[in-house]
Order: sequence, then C-alpha cells, then structure tokens
Amino acid sequence: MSRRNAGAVMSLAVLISIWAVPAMSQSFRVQCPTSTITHPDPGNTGVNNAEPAYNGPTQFNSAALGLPLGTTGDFLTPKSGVNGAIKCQQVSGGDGYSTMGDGNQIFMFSFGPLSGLADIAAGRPGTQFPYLFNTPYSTVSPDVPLVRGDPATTDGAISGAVPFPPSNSPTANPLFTWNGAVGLAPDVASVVSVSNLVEGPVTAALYPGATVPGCPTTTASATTVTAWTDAPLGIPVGGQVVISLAAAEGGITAPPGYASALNSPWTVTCVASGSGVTPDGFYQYAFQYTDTNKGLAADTGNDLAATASSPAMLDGHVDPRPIMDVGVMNGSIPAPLVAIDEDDELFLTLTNVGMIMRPDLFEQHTIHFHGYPNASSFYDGVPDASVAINIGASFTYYYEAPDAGTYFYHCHITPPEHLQMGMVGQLYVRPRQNRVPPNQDLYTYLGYQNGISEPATNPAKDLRTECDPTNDILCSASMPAVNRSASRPVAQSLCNGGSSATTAEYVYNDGDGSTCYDVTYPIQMHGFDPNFHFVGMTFNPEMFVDMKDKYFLLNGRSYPDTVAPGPQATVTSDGQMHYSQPLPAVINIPAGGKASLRLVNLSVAEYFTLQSQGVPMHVVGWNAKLLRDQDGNSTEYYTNSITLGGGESNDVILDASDDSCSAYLGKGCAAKLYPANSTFYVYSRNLDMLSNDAENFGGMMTEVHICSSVTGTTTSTSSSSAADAAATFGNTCSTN
Amino acid sequence: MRLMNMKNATFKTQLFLALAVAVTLSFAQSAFAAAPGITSTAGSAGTFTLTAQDAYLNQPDGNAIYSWGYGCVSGSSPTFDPEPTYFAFTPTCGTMQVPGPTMIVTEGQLVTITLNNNLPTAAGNTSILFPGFNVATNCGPSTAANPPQQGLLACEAVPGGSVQYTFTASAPGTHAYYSGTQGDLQIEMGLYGAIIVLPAGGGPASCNTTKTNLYGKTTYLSSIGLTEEHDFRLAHAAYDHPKSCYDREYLFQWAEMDTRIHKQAEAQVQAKVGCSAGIMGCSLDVQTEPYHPAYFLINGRSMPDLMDPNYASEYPHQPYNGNPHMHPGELTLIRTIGQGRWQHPFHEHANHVRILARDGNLILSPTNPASSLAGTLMFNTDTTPGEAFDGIFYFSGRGLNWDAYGHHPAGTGNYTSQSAIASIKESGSTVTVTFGGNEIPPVGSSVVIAGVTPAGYNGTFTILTSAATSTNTITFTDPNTISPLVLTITGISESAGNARTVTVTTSGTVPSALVGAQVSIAGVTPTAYNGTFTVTSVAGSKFTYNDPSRNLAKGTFTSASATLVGGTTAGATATMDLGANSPPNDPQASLSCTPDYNGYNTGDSKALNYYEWCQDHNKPVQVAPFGDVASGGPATLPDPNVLTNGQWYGGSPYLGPDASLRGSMASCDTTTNATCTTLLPSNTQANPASERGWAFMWHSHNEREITTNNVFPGGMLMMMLVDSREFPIDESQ
Repeated sequence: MSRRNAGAVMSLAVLISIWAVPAMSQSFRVQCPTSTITHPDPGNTGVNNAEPAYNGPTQFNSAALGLPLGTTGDFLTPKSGVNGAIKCQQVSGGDGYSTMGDGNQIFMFSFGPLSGLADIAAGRPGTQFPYLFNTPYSTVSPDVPLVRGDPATTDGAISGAVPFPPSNSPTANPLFTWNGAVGLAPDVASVVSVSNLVEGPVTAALYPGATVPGCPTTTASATTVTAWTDAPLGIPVGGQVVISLAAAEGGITAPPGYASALNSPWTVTCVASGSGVTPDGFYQYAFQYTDTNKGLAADTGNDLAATASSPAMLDGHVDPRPIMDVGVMNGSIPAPLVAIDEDDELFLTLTNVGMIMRPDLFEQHTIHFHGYPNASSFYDGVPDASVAINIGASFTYYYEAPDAGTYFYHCHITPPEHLQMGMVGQLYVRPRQNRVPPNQDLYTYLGYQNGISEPATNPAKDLRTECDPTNDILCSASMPAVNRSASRPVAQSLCNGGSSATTAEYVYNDGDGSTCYDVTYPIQMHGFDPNFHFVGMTFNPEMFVDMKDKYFLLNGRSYPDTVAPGPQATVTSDGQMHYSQPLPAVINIPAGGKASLRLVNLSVAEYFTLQSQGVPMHVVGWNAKLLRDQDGNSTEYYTNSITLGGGESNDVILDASDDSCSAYLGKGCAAKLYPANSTFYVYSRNLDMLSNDAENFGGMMTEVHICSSVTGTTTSTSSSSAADAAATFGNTCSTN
Repeated sequence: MRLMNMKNATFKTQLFLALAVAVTLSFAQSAFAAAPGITSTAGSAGTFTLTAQDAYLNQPDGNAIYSWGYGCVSGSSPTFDPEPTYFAFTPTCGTMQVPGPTMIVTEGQLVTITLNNNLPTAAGNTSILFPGFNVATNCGPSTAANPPQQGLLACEAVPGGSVQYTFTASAPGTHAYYSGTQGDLQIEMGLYGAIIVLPAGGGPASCNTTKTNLYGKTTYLSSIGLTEEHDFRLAHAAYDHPKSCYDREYLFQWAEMDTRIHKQAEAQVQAKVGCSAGIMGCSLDVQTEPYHPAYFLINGRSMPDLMDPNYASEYPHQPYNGNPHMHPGELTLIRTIGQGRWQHPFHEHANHVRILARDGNLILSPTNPASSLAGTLMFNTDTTPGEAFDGIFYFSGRGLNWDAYGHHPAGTGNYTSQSAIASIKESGSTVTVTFGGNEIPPVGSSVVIAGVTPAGYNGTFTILTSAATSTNTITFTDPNTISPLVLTITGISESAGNARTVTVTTSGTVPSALVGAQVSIAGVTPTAYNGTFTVTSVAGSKFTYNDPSRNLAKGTFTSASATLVGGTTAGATATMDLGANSPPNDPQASLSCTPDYNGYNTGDSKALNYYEWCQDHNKPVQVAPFGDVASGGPATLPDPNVLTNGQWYGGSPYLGPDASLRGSMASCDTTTNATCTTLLPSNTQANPASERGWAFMWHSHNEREITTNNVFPGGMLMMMLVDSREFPIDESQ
C-alpha cells in the first residue's frame, strides 16, 4: 500500500470511528453448546447430535455429591438413559418484503433465518443439532462468502410472486445446502512466543545445557519437536497446538516444516514440569509436539522463531459482516420454522439487525414462546416484564422443551404493531412417543413416562415427564381409559400399516395411537392490513382501531400461491431476491394416510374459521394439549371446520385413511373416498376472506392432494432424514 | 411499557404520565385484585336493591365517556365481601358503576333483586336478565304507580319505576347479569355485572387442606416477623367438587366500547331532558351499527388504570380492577365473563388454564365425575359474549431446568468464589494476595491460585490470614521461595539492531523461578531501562526482559538494582472456598428442597421456597457466573447493556428479592469495585426491590385490543405477577 492510500484509509477510519462511537459496536453472539448439565457430553462424542430412542425415563444421579435428592447438596445430573438432545437456531429481527397473491409487495417487520437456511428454504424446520449449527460457512465454502439475499441468491431464485421453477427448486436441486449459523467464526486464540525449536532428541552433544524437565530428551523420537516459550503454553498434553513461523528478527529462519497446516494442528505430547533451559542457555517454559516431518534443522537463536497457539475455537463469537449481509431485509412470513422434541434443550438466538426501511426507529425485538407452560418471565419475551433486545445485539433464549404440542412464537414488542407487521412464526414440540422403538407397545411406553411402571433398564421414574391428573390439574397426556394395544409402526409405513416413504408419528403422547399421522404441516393463519403496513413503512401515526385485514394468509400466502411448491421469493428494496415466504401450504397426503395440521391463528384482529371440504378433520389437540379428560377418556372429535381466535392453536388430523370407509362398508371396501390423484380443498368459511385485497378471488385457501406416494429429499448437511423430509413441506407428491 | 419511539410520540407521552401516576399509586397502596362484591344491600343476605343510572367513566387517555350502569340506591348499606377493612380504599357501591355490583350469594339462597330505573327518561325501560336462573318477577296486574312492564325478554322497570326479580341460587358458579332491554344499546352503555354463587358450606372439606393452601398456617412471612396475608377468598372452592379448590380468585369482565354510540346517547338524552315517558319522541334513536369500538375494557377499566386498586377514588364508577398476583403453586380461580358483543381471545402467559365450568356448569368426566374434570386446557381462553367460565390456573416453574430461586449448595467444595488477583507477592515463604470485592474467606480454608507467572505461585494453599480492607488480602505459605529478592545489577544492555530484548547481568545467580516474574529496575541511565518488567528468560547470572524501546544505548549506573515485585497477575484468579461467609451472608442461598410425591417442596410451610420444583434445585442458569450463583448451567447471558429493561422486569432470571439480589452481585467478583453493587436495573418501578416477582402479561391476543383509542399500550391488558413467598400479597394495606 502506498503512503497516499494509507492516508486515505486513515481518514476513512477516523470517520468511521466518529460514527461508531455513539452507536456503540454490535454485540452479536450465538450459543450452541455441545454439552450441558442435562445433556452432558464431556468427551465431545457427539451424543447430542441425534435424538436417541426413548427407552424409559432418564436416570439421574441422586445428586452430584452422591447425596439423596432433597438434602443440601449439589444439583441433579443425569446418570444414564439420557433423553433428548440439544437444538439451536438463530433468527434475525428486522424487516423485509413479501409478495401478496395479487402481486402487491408488502413491507413487514419480521424475523428471518440466520441458521438452517437450506432447511428453511426447503420447507423444513430450521432447528439444528449442534454439529450442524456450529459449522461455519467458511468450512463448507472457504473461498466464496455468503452474499446478500442468500440462500435465494445462490439458488438463483427468480423474481416475483411466482415461486422459482422446480428444476431450480431447493427441494429438487438445492444449490445452497448449508445449515450452520450465519456469522459464526472461530475465536482469536492466545499466542505465546517460541524462542527455540529443535526436532528429534535433545542431546547434550548437540545442545549442551539444554533441558526439558519431565519430557523425553535423548529418547525423543525423530518427529518430536521441542519448543521453548516465553510464557506457559496453557494447552495440556493431548491438546492441539498451532505453530506459526515468525519472520526472523535478527536470528535464523526456522524451516517451514515446523509449522502446522491450516486447520491441522499438531498434538502436544509433553509439557515441561518446570523451567527448562534453551539450547542458547536461557531458562524458559518448554513443551513438545509431534510433527510429520523428519530432519528439520534446529532454530536455536534467542529470538522469536515461531508462535504457538491453541487452535481457533468456536465459542459463539460471530463476524457481524455476514450477519448484516444475510440478515438485513431477509424477513419472512411466517418467521423461520422451529421444531424441537420433548426432552430437548433449545438455544434460540435472536439477532436484531435493525430495520433498514425505518432508520428512525430504535426498535427492540423479543421472542415470546407462546403457550410455554410454567414459563419464566425472563425468557418469556414480554419487554415490560423482561429484557428487550436492542439493535445490534443478540440474546439467546433458553428453553427445556415443554410438553408436546403446537405452539408458536412472536415478537412481543408493541404486539398490535409487530404482529400485524409480520413477526409471527411457528414452533412445535414433537412427543416422546415418536422415539418409541418400532413395534413397541405405546401404552406401556406412556406408562414409562407417567411413572406407572418402569423398565428394568431405567428403573427410576422421572417426575418431570409424568402426567398424574390426580395431582396436577394442568396436564392432559394421562393414560388412556382404554388400552388399545397400539404399537409403533415400523419405519416407512403408514399409521394403518401400509408401506410408505413416510414414517408414522404422533402429535401427542397418546398411548393409544389416536394422534398418529403420516405427514405434518404447520399452517399459520394470518392477515395483513395493507394500509397499516404502508403506515408501518412510512412515518405516520398508526390507527389500531381501523385495522382491517385485507390479505388472508395461510403460511403467508394467498391462494393460489399457497399450493406452489418451494419457497416464494421477493425482490426487496436492496435489489436482492429474498425468500420471503418459504413455506407453501399445500397438503400432500399419501393415499390411505393422515395429515396432521398444526393450525395457529396469529391475526391481531380476526377470528378465522377453516373448513375442510371432503376430508374429515379429526381434532386431537387444543392449545398444545391432547384432548383427553382427567379420567383418560378421549374428548377428541370429528368435524369439518374449526374456529380459532388470535393466539390460539389446535391440532387437526386430516383423516384420508379411508378407515371410516372400512367401518361403514366393511374392511377392504372398494369405494375409497380419498383415492390417489384426487384433490380436496381447505379454506376459510369466512367467505369475505377468499380474496386478495381488491381481487375477489384467492385468500385463505389451499389444496389437499392425495398422492400415490409422498417422498422427500435432504441434503448432506440437513438435520432431517429422507423420511422426515417427506413428512412436511417441500415433499413431492407422486400421482401415478 | 416500552421505550417511546417517534410513532405516536404525543400519545405515548401522555400515556407515560398516566402510567407513572398509576404505578406510584400502586406502590403506595400495594393493592391487588380479588373478586370483590356485595352480599346484600340491606343487611339480609341475598337481598339487593339496585338502580340503573348514568354517569361518566374515566379512560386512561383522559376521556370521560357517558355511560349507564347498575349501582346501589343512595342510602343503602351494602355488605361487602371480602372484609371492607382488607381494602386500601373504602369499598363503595355508588349509584352507578361499570361493571355493576358483583352480587355474591350462596348456593340454595333465595335471591331477591329490586331494580329501580333511574336512567334518563328518554332511555326508556330497563331490566336485568339472569341467564341460568329460574327467575320470578312482579310483572302482572298491578295498581301501583309506575308498575313494571313485561318486555320481550324480561320484566322491565319503566322510567322512574322498579321491578323485582327473585330466584333460588340453585347451583354454585360464576354468572353474568345484564340488561334484557335493547341490549345492543343498554349493554354497550354498561348495564352488565356478575353474580357469584358460592358453594354451600364454602366447598368440600378437602379444599381446606390442599398443599397449595397456606391460609391459617405459619408461612415464611410470620417466620420473619411479618403479618400473614389476609384470606381474600370468597370460599375455598368454586363448586361442590374437590377439583375446584382454590387459593386465590379473580373476576374479569370483558367488554368493548364504541364511543360513537355513547356520544349519540349522550346528545339525545341531553336534548330530551324533561320529556315524559311514553310520549312520542321521548325515546332514543341510537345507531349501534356499524360497530367500531376504540376502548377495550376489563372490569370497566383499560390498562394502566386497570391495575390501580379496587375502589380507587379516581374511578368512582369503575370500582373493580385487574391486577392478579399469586405465589408459586397456588391454585388460582379465574372467573371470566364476556360482557360485550365481541369475542376476545384471553391469553394467559405463564401456563395453561383448566376450564372448570361454563355458565356455572361443571364439565366432568363421564366415567368418574366425582373426581375427574373434563374441561379443556387452554392458553387462550376465549371470552364469549354473554358466557361466563371458571378456570383454574397455577404457576410452579416446573421444568424450567434451572433453580428459579438461585439456590446454590452450601458447605465446602461447592460454593466458591473466583476473584481476579490484583497483586501477588512473596516475602520469605509468605505470599500476600490482594483481590477485589468484599469476599472474606475464612482462615484455614483453601485457596486455589491459578494463572500467575511464575508458575511457582500457583497451586492450592491454606489461608493463613484474611482481612477485608479497601482491598482484600489473604496470605498463605508457599513452599517455593525466590531468593534473593533484590539483585545488584552489574551490566545492562539491549540487543543490537531492532530487537527489544534487554539482557541484565547481576552480581549473583539469578533464580530460575524468576522467569515470568515482575521485577522493578531502578538506577539506570538511559531511564528507559527503569520500570517494572516481566522476566522472559534466565541464564546463570543473567536474565532478559523486553522493554518497549528500541536502540537503547548500553546502560550506565552507579548503583542499580532489580527488585522482585511479584507475580504477573493478568488473568490470574484466586478461587476461594467462602464457607459461611458467602456474600451476601445469606442462609436462604442454601435452602433444601425435599420433593413430595409430585416433586415439589411442600414439607415446611415456613420455607421461603415452599412449592419449589425440586428437580431443578441448585441448578445454575448459565455457564458463566451471573453473580454468585455457581457456574455450569446451560445458558450464557449477554452484557446487560445490549438489552432494554422493562418496568416489570425483576432484574435477573431469579424469583424474589433475595434470589434476585444474590443472582446479580456480579461486580463482587471484579477488581474494579471494592464494594458489591448489584446489577439489578433501576427502572423497574412496577416490580420494586421488595417484590422482584415474575411478571406475565394477561391480555387479549387480538392484539389490537390492547390499545386505548389507538394508543398502545392500553385496553385489555394486565400484568400478572408471580411473587415469591417473602413478598406479602396483601390487599389490606
């Protein structure tokens, strides 16, 4: 760099610092530990990177000190049979645009994905195990950084309300396949200076007076390197050390073979137990490592030969540049999908990137996990009762997964504004019963959870998983009144046993299979008032009284966009394509199967009635609770419409199994009501809501496709299996 | 509420002022909600004489809205329940209030209600409907003046006249009452209220001994010399059913208000003052459609007025509030009535609600009705026009996966404090360590020194002396010794060229342990040689250090020395077992938790952590320490400066004053503060230091209804507080 350029850079730096000081710097962080008290993995074996089978309650040490629980002592730690895993996700809080069914582009305050980008684009939850979340983009794409609009930009998404063509669909041919945390970058390591480097035995003949207390000297192997340092290395034996050669400063240049390659550190074999003596006669610290070279010349001049450091660690620090590149204007409706399993710990990081279109607002955001039972106010996301996250900051919400059910999340800052403007997302918790091994009896396994009887391998019950209606007035997954001897179907089969690319799962821990489904679709009912959104984008007073939704949305889309596969992209004011509406709302059901609809209403103004024409709705859950009375009787019911107010959820199973056909017409009846290649409709019975603003067509409506098979694809970096991917949006309906 | 931004700035400023007033009032009075009402207006239980009159309701935007409501006729002597002396403001039953007086009767009682129509004459007839009761009236042939007239739905009182309703309160439960005359206008104007029928005998006897119920027992409050809480319940159970026991109860009546209707009524009434009933034109013609409400009310008030005390004098016609509080584990009965014409999705943060009954009808399991409920579990309990429901709620913190009380284990080996070392120096074999904070480890306990160079300082030692002064000092004996402590310099020079390495030659042998130690060089010219430096290497009579200068001339001196200053302490820590000297010296930090059959700590009603969920006992919340609560938990909390604190924020992830204080003493562990200061935010006026409860929003989830005439916050919004057992939930002050 020439002197002149340096001066220019200096001026710019001064200017930047002037602006930077009053605003403070950013405080973005993410969290995704690989080991916790509840899910310990001290050896980093990766046990928390997969969901273990449920074989009975987690067994606890009575207390860490060996004391019985209840005495004064330490806290409970798991001993064996640990259930659940660790899940992590990062979302941005900011703004974005979405495309309505009439082509109108609507400004939103919104959450957007900052992890699990590929899964979100493919219609799946963006919630990741630690090994996926903790994969920096640089490790999968060292040369090409994330670019604005990603993953839509890399995928080559095309403009407008038309979802991009199937040939380019992430579900069929994903170009962008990474699911890690945006911004995650290795931490800067502490460095010590190495004065002398010697490879091979340290003998009195070669290096008179040199010592390495407690380490092999004359017996050192030809690939053992002894390094003397000015400060303790701080890395134990067996740890990894990065050696970087220093520019010679008045001494000789060490051979390059001493240095470790990028991302391939050496292993420390010995650390001197006391002060060593360098070949050139000084008392210093020393350690040894093994390299892969032989015959390297020694560097024994008493000047800096090299530096030694620990490898760069991932500790949650982030590089803010990709976060701003990807996070700004990447808001989506619905917000990124979150899904966890019972017994998981969820680390959900909210990163507030600010609202580019409203630079006048210093708007905080929060996440309210709506319906979380026995919530703490601290992580409840109500700004009045807790903390709100400023622009430029991150906050990691921590939850132990609550009881299975359909919940949702939203920002709780000025709710009538931020919810109407679009900060609403779906979140569901899958039940333990999904992890019961194939062919096992569901009633028996629910008994394990409920402390009725425990298996020999996991003999102690876990009070946290119990539902004992005698003592707890607020639980519903009690033992069913009738043991129907239902067992878990084997993988890749329907609830009723038929072969399928999907695997039967459950909405709740029912113990009798009553909530079994083959595919599951989280569907958010919402409404946008374009006048309010215009006001939200501009600088006018907001009129809440006059709020009137004019776009009626299922997963942020109006019919017919609801049935288009793949993510829907919108070009925003930054000129980039962004996935603005990643979730379709089309309901693909394998013939003979059942679809779970996880329905939520997040409108701030309307009650919605959703009607299913043809396929009956089996209502199994309300407000994230199984419909069952305290004596175990089912209170589930069949209907063809449900009504939800804002902030309500329910669990409906669209039952296309034709099991009722069997009941009426005899087993194996020929007259199937829901044969493959048929289409049914689900829509709002509030008929004025079948419109897209001025268009008297569209609105809150989608289609149910009965398919000969439903299949899914995944990427190598997805947390889903192919069967999981078949089970939700982004799957493919075959109609032959 | 949230920080103001430029949108609606003027509105919000006004509201802030209103909120500030409200909050101040709340402090002064510490008055919370309940289900207050009257058991009679004339001494004989179940006998009520009501009047329907007009007046103006106060709203938080400063508007006074013309309304109609039921009240007690002037001169009546109502009997109030709960005890009038429990209330901060003297209970009143004025001649008009919205909602109308809550009438509290008992199962089996004969209820007689006389309604006097004192509405403006132009308003015409009025009446009351009692859905769910078999009502007899005095309509019929009469020779009295202004006799009642049979209307379409009800027997009506004519202007200036009266009507009487009698019925037997045959079954317990919560019920609505409201006008049966031109309801689209009269109910909108405020003519609605609630009737609570208590179970005969106060409910099943088993409800007197539930583990959640501490009334009549010694609690933590009296164990520390405070007065026990008043029992504010109307009964011990909502129904004659053991699953309907409760420890607290609140009544919420939801309605909205379209001021356009009220303004029309007001204008027409004023225009027709003095007209004669029954004369052509002496009636109202108010458009009640299209309906466009701008005020969303719970118990006749909007947030923040809603959280002011019951019977507060500034709301003479809106006596009832919405300000629920509860302790962990307490079964809380929520009596809710939809009084308006719209549904409202009532979202209860913090837990689900079990629906007990609708319109006084228990929902029971068909196979085991004696002991099993069948109502749904809801986190959104819709209020339906005209319908009353009862639900049971509780909060216990079960399954949070950290100790909400911030307990940490007592005894050796567990509770330790890690402090940054300010200085460490050896003299002879005695090492003196200073560190910040005011933690005072007991003499004889162990200290772990780590991160000091020379490494000889590091290790585990037994504390010899311990003293708290401006900085804290401990001493211990170190088996390592460095001798001599002062070296006489015989030569000093910097390496040639660009290097910064200074080599010092001394008169004796330099101890090898000096590598990493700090030495003070004095007496040398150029003076750049002098100062305190870290020894980088030692060889025989020589040692080296790096100085910040380059190209120094060879040092000259007449008498120069290198004196050992001590260890290099950047990043060094002293981890001490504080034993009983935990800061703050707090026995509540190490309470025990003995799980009952359900996993809760219910053995000792005097325990501060009564009803703690024991599985999470002592479990820390985060990896890095937050105050003195031990590390190792799952989450890491960010720098509090990147967050904005709410007014109801307790200041920490912990529940209650003691735990919040203990969990926020982080600055005790830094060298920058000699005295402990807490990190608790100062702007949490609505959740003061004596309370530090966990606040949850209970509100309409049709979120545009949490506004008042276009201003957020307002409307159908209240904060529910879960308070630890050390904070008295006491409406009596």
